[in-house]
Amino acid sequence: MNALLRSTLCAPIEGIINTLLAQDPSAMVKLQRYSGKVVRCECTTPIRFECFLLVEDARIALLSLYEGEPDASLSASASAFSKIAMSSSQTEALFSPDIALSGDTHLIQALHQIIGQLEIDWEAHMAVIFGDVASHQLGKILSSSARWATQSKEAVLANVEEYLHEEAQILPNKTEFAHFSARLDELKLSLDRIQARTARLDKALDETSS
Amino acid sequence: MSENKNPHQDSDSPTTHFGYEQVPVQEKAKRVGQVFHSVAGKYDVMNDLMSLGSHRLVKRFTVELSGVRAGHKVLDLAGGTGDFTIRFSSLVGKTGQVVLADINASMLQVGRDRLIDKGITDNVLYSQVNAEQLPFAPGTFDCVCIAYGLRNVTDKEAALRSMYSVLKPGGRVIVLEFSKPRNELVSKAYDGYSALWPIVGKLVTGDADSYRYLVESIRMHPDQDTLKSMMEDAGFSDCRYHDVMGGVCAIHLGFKALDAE
Repeated sequence: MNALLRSTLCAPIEGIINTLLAQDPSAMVKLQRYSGKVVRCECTTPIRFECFLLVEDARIALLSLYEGEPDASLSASASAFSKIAMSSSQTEALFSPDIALSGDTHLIQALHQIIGQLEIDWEAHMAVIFGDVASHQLGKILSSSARWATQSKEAVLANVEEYLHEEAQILPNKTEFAHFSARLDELKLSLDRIQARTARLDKALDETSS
Repeated sequence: MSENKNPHQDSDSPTTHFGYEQVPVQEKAKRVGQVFHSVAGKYDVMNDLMSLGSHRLVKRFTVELSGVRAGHKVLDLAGGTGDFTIRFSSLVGKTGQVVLADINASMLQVGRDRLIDKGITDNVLYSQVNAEQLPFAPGTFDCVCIAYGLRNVTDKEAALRSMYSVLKPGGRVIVLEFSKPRNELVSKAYDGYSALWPIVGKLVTGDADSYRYLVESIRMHPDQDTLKSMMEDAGFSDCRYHDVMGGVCAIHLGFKALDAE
């Protein structure tokens, strides 16, 4: 891809990252520890796209070109990158077969943690536009809506699970499934043992007959 | 420098172009100074209007090509309102230094105020200089950047030689300047579009003449290959350029050889 086009594509992403970072002063302080470090990010599919994430004092620069040696490298598909961006769990996001890490992997983990743990005080930012009282009320409505949505999601999942397991009995529950898996493993091991014994007997029979 | 003898002038007085006009060599710097003094206050707004914001992306790419890193010493020549200095200052960090230099006091004043307002004070120095005679010790800078400034310099060859001198061996010069579009259609469209700039300039800054000069000076500026040859003549090695927007602008790069004196 053309370097100017890459640089142009990096500009809005860099803008979003820095706007979010600027909302959390503690993240900026943490980021300063890694000032000068560079991570090469390579998107492998659907299009090959390479950029360099450079930590500056209190911001992140996304460069299309970097002439030095990066401290770490992260190579993944576009979908894996979106998973990294959305997930706050490092194990889930970074240690997946779709992602290749090299160099100083602690640096990648640390940066992912800083971005994943951003604590943005939305209410304070809304107060600048709507005023203290209105933004407090709006914040209360939004947080209660978010709580309601989380509770509803959990309740729906629990009800569906109960229906499928207990009432319709279409699916086994977790304990049954674990028991079934254990029995299946035992069966597989027994079959392997029988197969090995048969092979040994066949071999002994061949040796006797010859 | 393209010096010509103007038939209307004294035969011993060399002239140079100021847009399409021929003026005595010693007068060009003064006339260019008047242009920038007049537009300094609205310079950034006009840049956004004339380029439809694209100058920001071109400048961003230019900074990436500069290869500037932490600890580097950078000269932002004809740096005006400080767009490049802001980026360089962040890249060189506390261990590096950026010198924002311009021949025009008004532009430098706007740039300095802007940087101070942004809290950028640690690693930036300001200097009013003539690009043809840079007042820095030889081998001072890792990178010299001149963006949209070279075409306003009276003696471009002297300026390039001076930039070469202040570079460290292994350092690079980066020249961002308007150039010649490759495609005839793009060229015609660009000509038509740039003809509007004096009108926009009149509406925004109340000064059409300065923007007429801008359009004319772009037409008079050497094309990509000519500028590359000029850089090679000044001593730079491994010179190359990147066309931007089909050649409307070009970013030239040149290096001072490691074994250069």
